[in-house]
Amino acid sequence: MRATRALVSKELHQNAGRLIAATLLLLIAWATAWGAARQGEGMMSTFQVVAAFAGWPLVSASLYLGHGIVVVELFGRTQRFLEALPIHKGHALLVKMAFGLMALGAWAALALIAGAAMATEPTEPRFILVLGVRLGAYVVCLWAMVFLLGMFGRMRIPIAVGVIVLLVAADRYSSWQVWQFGPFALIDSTSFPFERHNIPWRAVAESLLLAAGACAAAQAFARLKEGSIVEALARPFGPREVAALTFLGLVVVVVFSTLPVAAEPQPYEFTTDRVVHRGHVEIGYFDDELQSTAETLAEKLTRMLDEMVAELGWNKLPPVRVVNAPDVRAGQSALASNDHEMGVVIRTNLAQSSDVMATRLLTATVHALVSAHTRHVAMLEPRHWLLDGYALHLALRGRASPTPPTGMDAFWMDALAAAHRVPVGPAFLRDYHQANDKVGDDGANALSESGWRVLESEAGRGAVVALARAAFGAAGTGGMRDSWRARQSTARLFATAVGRDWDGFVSSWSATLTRDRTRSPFREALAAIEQAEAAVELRRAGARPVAIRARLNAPAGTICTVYEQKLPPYDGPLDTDAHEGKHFLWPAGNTVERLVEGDYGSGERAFVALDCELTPFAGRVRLLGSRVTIP
Amino acid sequence: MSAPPELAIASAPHPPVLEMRGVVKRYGDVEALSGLDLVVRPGEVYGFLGRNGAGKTTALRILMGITHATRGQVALFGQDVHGGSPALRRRIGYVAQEQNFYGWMTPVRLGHFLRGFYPTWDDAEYKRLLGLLEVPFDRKLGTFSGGTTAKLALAAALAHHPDLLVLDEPTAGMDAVARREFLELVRAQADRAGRATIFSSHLIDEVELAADTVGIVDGGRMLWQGPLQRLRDEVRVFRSPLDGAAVWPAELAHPEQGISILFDRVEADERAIMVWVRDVDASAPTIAALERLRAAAAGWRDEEPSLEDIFIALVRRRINY
Repeated sequence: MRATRALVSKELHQNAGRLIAATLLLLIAWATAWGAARQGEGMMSTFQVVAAFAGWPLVSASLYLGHGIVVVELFGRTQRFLEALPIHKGHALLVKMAFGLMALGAWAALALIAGAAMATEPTEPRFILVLGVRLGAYVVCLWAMVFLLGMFGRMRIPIAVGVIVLLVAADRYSSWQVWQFGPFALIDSTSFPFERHNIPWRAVAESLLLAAGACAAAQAFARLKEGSIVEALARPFGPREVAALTFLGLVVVVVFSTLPVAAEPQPYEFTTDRVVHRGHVEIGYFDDELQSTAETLAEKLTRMLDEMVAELGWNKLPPVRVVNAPDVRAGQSALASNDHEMGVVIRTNLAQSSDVMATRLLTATVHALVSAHTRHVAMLEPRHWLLDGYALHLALRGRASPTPPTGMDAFWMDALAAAHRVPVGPAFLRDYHQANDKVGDDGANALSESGWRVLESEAGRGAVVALARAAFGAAGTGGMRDSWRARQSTARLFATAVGRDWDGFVSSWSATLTRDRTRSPFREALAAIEQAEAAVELRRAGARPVAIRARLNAPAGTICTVYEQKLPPYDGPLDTDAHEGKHFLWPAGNTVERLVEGDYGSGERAFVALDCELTPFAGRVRLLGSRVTIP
Repeated sequence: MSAPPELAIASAPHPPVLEMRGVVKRYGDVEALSGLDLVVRPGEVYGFLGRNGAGKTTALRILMGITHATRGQVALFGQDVHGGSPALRRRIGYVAQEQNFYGWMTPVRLGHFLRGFYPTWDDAEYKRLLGLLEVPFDRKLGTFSGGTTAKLALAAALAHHPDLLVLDEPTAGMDAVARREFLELVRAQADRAGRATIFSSHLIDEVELAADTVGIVDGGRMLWQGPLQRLRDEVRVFRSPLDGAAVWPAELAHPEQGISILFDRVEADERAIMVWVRDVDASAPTIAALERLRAAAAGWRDEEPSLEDIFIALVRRRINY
């Protein structure tokens, strides 16, 4: 015990500077990640920062500490001094392992505690336990690998690079998804902050097995040929080795450049000659009776896309293919594929053509193209609403009033109806996906679009173009520049592009909607839904524990839809394609009660919503949208 | 045939502090030790003499448990050391050939560190030795010269009052004065504490100065070991002018008579013959054989050779028992 204490004390003295420096750097990394997450306003959980912290910052710190604990000892040949001490072989090595693990564990624990302290979400003990187990197993695995790497002395960096190359190659050229394996899966940012109940035992076991293997290998390697191999590796590179490694590196680069890249998905191709071609637009109508509809739609699309390209200053436009799909519900469009090179494929039901359908199709097309062009940066919170609004605004251009209308306008009505449930303000802009829950896609799109209309009425088309170009003009790179763009606040973007104060504009926008909701003829049209009431009733877990009770003054036969979706144990944007909609006709009378069909266990979560198709609204009006936990 | 010297020592009354029997150590195809026998008794200062690469460091590293023998037996204080028992190693003070202390430590800090490994650590003795050896207390070890580092290593090796002091070429890199002081201290502490000491060296004068027992190793095998004086008694050089009439009694100078010729050569204007007189049996001890040779070699001048001459002659001939 005295010997162990002496060794620990020695490590502490020897690495004190390193520990302090690494702690300071980690603090800076934490503060930077935290600040970036807050500035971007896209942070859904503080534990996203913890997951990010466990990535490169903690890996870098462990390499830095490993250098001090393992490599410096070997390069300084002071391990010879240690091996002459009256202790068992491996004792000093075990102390080194434990020391580094404690340091790494302390850093990870502090990050977790800080995350929990700053969390705005519930941090029940089970959640913290799940996070602790994930982080603990990850740290054990990380340190074991770093420790083993240190044993390879001057070869550690080439070996590390080799392992990274192999992992990338395996991920790219094999079916093995590396990032879902062991330690990588444990700090995966898409599950780490949100998985509140289940410990990923498989990833934990994989990580601990890897760690045990690395520890055993390190101990065995240290004793191999009585330590002479480790000692020999702890010498600087010779000229021949440098030449050999350079050659090897070149070989790897050449091999990688000649390897066939994983088969790229092929662009969509029509299997029929019943296709209308207009510029970048192709519409496959399949049925001769739909040819004229397709041609009209193609004209509209081409005109709008030309306008969009000019407005946003793009230098190219990928192909847009519209496929007639009779299974798609009237007035709706479904995005089939979207790629910045291969273009957009959208399915729609041409037989159910209408103005609303055309608008929805144009909106979906613009949305998909902008998303692909910006490599999906435009889809990120907190500016997703900007894209939704712009896509609809562009689709409505020439059809609806570019400014808040004086007469009835179905899409403006959608916006007013949505504003009744989610007033425009900081909460709507920050928590857009939650607003989407409450007002539905159609309501959210219309509400977002109303902002563009208000901007155009107050500052003119030039302001709209400037803001659109600032937000969506630059092509995404898939790299750091995208991250920087995504982090730019809407207020700064707006002020730079439009030259107006953002908060002042939001107030004005909100005031416009508030005013119109009390103004004829909108007030009368909104009366029905403003008097509507809808609520969720929860019963005990089991078959059909969720019921919706709604009161609405609607004509019998109005089409309504109940949506239901089982949720993961964390809050994130809904996958609206996974909505299971059950349509029903509003019965005579004002009140309905509908049981949601799913079976739920206690503690399970669900999203339920009720939409009705009411006049004079363009979209479905959401009467209820709620996330619930089954008692 | 008389018994080999090491067996003669082994039969002495005090059990050995250290005993190596038939120790073989191989590194792949290279045999560093080829059946080494070595015995150190209590209170003895044992000079382990050999050329560079003779196997001295390997033998001492085996003794310290740092490396393992491929074959053979090693006993410390009467116990097998295979596995390098920490309890046994705590009774040893070790000064390695190359000092690999932490450069950031000071001697005081080093003392605090080593205290954790030796229950018998004596801070006062450590500081006394540092003072005696003029080692600065508070300077970082990275700034020390090779000689000062070796002195520090000696102080650290002695501060826990070991039963056996093991020094592996400790004076390498020291100047003449430092070397002399170091060896005198080794000798003095052995005399004062009656502590067994084994130190390896390839410098004969060091062994002559400090050791009372010598072991000569070459090619991984022990060529000779025993008291230094006895070696001097056994090996003689006979000289005669080249133009003189003295006749060498070749019939006496024969291995069967217990006399081996280590060399026979011309030096300046003399013929010089180095003989090694051994006990052939109990009834014909060394002294008697030597007296017979002296009597027969009338006209030859009998001289005591230097240890260096003996060492070189032995190594060149690789004569062993």
